Amino acid sequence: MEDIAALAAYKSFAELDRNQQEMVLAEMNADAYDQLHRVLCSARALDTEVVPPPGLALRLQAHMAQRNRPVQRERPVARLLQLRIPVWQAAAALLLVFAIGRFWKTTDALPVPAAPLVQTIVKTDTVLLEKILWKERIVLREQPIQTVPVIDPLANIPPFQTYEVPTASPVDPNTDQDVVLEVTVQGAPIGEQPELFQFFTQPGEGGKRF
Amino acid sequence: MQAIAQRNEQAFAELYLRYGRQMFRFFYRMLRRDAARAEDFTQELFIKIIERPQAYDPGRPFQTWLYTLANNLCKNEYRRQARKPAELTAALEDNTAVWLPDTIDRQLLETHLRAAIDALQEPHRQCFILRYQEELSVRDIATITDCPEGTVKSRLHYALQKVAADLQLNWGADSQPDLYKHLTIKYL
Repeated sequence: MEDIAALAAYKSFAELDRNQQEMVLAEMNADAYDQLHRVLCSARALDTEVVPPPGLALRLQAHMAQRNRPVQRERPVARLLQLRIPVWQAAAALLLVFAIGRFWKTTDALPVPAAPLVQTIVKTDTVLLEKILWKERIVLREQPIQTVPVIDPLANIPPFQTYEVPTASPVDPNTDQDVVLEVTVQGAPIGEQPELFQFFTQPGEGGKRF
Repeated sequence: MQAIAQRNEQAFAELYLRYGRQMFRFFYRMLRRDAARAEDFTQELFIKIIERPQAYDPGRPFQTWLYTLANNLCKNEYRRQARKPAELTAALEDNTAVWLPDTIDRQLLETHLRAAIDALQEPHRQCFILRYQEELSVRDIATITDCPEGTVKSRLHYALQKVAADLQLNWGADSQPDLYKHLTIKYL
């Protein structure tokens, strides 16, 4: 039946060829077919004259153009400056800031509760004897990091002279007599030894060291 | 569509020139000749194309895809409004005038035909419009409506029966030479 309807949508009975007419006549008579043809042609012709309003095309073109337009990104600061808020919101924000500030001050001024007093009682019930078992002594030793040839300043000095230190005579604690120490010097004075004198008076490496 | 995806305004203008009127007419028919809503739906359809051209699968025929989009828009609208076809034909049921098929003029035939099409149930009306007004193939209709071809043929058959029965009812069985009666019997 769909085949007949497909034929009837475009061709009248007279326009069919012999085979198609025979196929149609097996189902219905020619008048019924023509009536079906008329109905389907009328259905196809229904509302064919309607056209979209011209404004629709313009709107769609504008939409397409708007979509193609590059999006300009505003600077965040500029966008922030362009923000508009109601007056009551600004006032409420100010009040809130003020209230928070007041609360902050109030919390600072609050007295800090005193820490609970803790008393420790110590009772000694044993005699302790302290005994030092060992002591630690720190000895600093210098370790040469570089060997520098040193001129022995005592090379030309005569052999070591010994001084005899007199032993103090026992002092009677009941007398006011001062104790006099007598020292006997043996050797030659420095003025009689020019080399030694020059060593002490001439500026140089040895002088810096001493 | 590739050109539209690349934001080619000329390509979109060409597309609208080809399919704009066709889609508007389809919506006009599907929405029972509501021109304002047909305009809105056409605009929505083409905006969808502008916004998401990548949704089109180049492996499918473009016209079928376009009708699928349009048909889905209509189905959503039907669900929203849940209109009853009986309400739409209520005004025509009072028409008791007797018309002879040979003398009936074209305008009156169209009026009754519109009423008969509007009285169809939505799936049948959808298939009837797509097949006999938009002139799409059964296969394309099956794709658009997401139904098997057998279902589409069955709906078309039922729709034709119903249209013929309504025409016979409106024109009166007593005053015509059984043309529509015969047609109805044949299709029933």
